[in-house]
Amino acid sequence: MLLVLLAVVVLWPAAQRDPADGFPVSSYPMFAKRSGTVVRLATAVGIDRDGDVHRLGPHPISGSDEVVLAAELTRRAVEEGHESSAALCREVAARVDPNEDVVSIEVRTEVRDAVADVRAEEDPLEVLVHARCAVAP
Amino acid sequence: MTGLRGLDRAPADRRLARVRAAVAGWSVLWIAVRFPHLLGLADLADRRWYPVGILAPLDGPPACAAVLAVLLLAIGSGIAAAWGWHPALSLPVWAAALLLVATYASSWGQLFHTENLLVLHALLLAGFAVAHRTRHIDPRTVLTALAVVVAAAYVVAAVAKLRGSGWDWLDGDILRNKVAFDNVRKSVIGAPASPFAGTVVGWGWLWAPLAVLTIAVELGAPIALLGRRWATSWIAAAWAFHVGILAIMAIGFPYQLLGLAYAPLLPLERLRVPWRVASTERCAMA
Repeated sequence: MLLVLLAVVVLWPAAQRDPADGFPVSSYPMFAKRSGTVVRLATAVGIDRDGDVHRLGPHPISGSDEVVLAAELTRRAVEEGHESSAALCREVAARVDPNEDVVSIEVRTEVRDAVADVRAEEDPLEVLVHARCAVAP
Repeated sequence: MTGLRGLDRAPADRRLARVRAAVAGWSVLWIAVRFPHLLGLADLADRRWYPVGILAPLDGPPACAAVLAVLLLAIGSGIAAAWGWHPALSLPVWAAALLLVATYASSWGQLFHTENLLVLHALLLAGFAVAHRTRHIDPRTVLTALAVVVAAAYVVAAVAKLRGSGWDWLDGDILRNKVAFDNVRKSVIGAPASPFAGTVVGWGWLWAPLAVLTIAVELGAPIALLGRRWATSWIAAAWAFHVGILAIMAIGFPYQLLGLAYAPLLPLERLRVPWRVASTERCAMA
């Protein structure tokens, strides 16, 4: 009886009409929905004096070394609108190593074909800039 | 023997003691390694706080001192729980602290699914340790409960896929696109992606069989409860599944990759350990 109850508790999220993720009992929805090959990716990048884009890595973006945390934090900031994107931009600018060539930060969405360009080596299909801010010298 | 059917009580008791030591010990190592990251989360702006689970009622992140206190408590009680020191006390404190730590880590916008089973196992071990104070609990029941939770979690993952996309999920496109998405997402953040992803994503023929295998491993998890051979086969398949995830997505599920998630089904009672691991019987008398 106890074991059945346990199984029901863990299986419960899967039985929901609109399964929501949670912790520590999850519906594991990460791979559930169909998505196309063209994706929108929110990120923050550094821009140098020549206008070249520098990938920053997770720590300047989120203050943490967790990649998915940096990605999700940026996605949420973009989704929340300009104020949140601008705040994130300032936070990233404050964390960027001043010795790097980066003079400004852009919080942006890159539209890419994930299957054709898994390593993001090509130019994005489209770039939407949500916030731009200067890095203090 | 692998699996739980036919396992006598004495070896089950030894196995349970080793499972508890391994799970609690791993949690201590996990927190110790992630200590700078977990403490560093307190530096994030309050607006980045998206609480989940038991922390959902909190409007803002807890104070740094509280985070530090819970981290230290989780480490201290985890060591005590692994050692078997007063389990009716150390296990609930450890499980509660670990739940808080792992929930806190997932309350900044990204739910981490890598610690779900660790926390569920900790809560179960704690619950049974408390119950053992007032009534005898058969160690085989505890081991079975730990294994049931693992099997159910895999089944949930399969059900989510099939409910979300139907049997179309098996054509492999969704899996390939998600793997590609995850890798390109890492690249635009500026983090290393899987070195194999670029090649593997291009192999169109691979993804339908991989999708079928994924669903088979996840939906087939309950067969591990049927007996020794079933358990051995399923554990091997599930472990290979996680190795595959690590290889093509650069996402590690350490609890699964180290075999700890499957430990209740593994013959840990045969392991000779150089230190004393208190059995549940001895702990109950302590």
